[in-house]
Amino acid sequence: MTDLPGPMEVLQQTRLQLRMGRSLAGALGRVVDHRSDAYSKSLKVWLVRMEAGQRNEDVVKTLPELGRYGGRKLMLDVFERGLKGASIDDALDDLEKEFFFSIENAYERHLQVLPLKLLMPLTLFILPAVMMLIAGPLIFSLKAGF
Amino acid sequence: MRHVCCSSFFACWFFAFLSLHPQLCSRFGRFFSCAEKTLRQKSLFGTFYSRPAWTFVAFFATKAAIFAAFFVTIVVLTAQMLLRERKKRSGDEIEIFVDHLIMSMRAGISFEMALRESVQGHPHRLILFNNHHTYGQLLAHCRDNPSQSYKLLEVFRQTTRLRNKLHAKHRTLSLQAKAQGLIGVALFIVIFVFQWLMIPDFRNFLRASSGRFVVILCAFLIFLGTRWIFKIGKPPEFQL
Repeated sequence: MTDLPGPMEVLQQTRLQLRMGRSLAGALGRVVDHRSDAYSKSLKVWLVRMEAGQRNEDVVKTLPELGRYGGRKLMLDVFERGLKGASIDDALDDLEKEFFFSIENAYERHLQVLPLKLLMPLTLFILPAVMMLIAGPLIFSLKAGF
Repeated sequence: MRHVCCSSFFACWFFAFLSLHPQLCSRFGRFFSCAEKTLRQKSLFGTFYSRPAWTFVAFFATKAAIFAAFFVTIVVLTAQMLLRERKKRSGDEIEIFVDHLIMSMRAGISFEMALRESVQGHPHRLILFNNHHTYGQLLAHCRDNPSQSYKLLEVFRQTTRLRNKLHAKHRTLSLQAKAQGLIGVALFIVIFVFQWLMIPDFRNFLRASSGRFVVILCAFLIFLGTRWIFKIGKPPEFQL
């Protein structure tokens, strides 16, 4: 099975861990410990620095992987609130749905333009190659006849 | 497609049969107003393509080869999909298992009882669930805290459904592109083998350096085209 994008995977696993009764720091720590992608590694560093008392904005500035897209920044804001003791279950639920719809939209958009995009290699490479293979011997024997 | 393929193969066999019987062949030639002389004479088109009957055979056989390439690719892809489906069943099994648990709990049955009922007759479900790190943890937590189990399982089911939906989309996307690429490669191979076996002039064509160059160029173009198709078929980067 293909893995989902890092933030989505982390979000889903964290929600499950929170439901199991763990604290946000414990849940996040458990989730990122089992993952090896760049996003999870950065999140691990973020968590350590946040627990050390640094500000979210300052940490994100030094970890470009975390601030690359709007969704990631939003997720960190929610996590920051959670680390401060606020209830974030509903926010995480909404964020998960948002992530799901944005991934679904990306797939849909890609699927819509895929047939058109596939025409390019077909017309530029594959069909000429097949035609050359079929017509090559014919042209060769025509030339030999002359 | 089956009809076109069969008609092409039938036409090939018909002309092969004709060529084995010279008398029938000459009669057939006369019927299509090509005299026996015309069939035998050597013209500027060489020995093979000058014969109208063989040109006919070549046309139908090439058509048949193209359809055969599609047929082979479709068979291979179907087999691959069936194999994947078999692998996917373990994911479905987990979803069915959780659905059953939730439904039983909604009906008022305790978690332990629901678990016992769901596993009855399907002991592999529990093994599947326990084999996965997170799922195993989840089940252990539900056992330890039965009062939280319903909410937890609902969240898990929601998450699994979203994941499965996205995986299905991902598979569709990559399979669509892969099918096109594989058909291109299969078409090239089938046409090459067919020409090699059935058309004597093709071997003369390959003996010439220009012929070899054309075939290598064709293979290179197919390689480039397939690579491009596979690249296009990759899912986009998600801006999350």
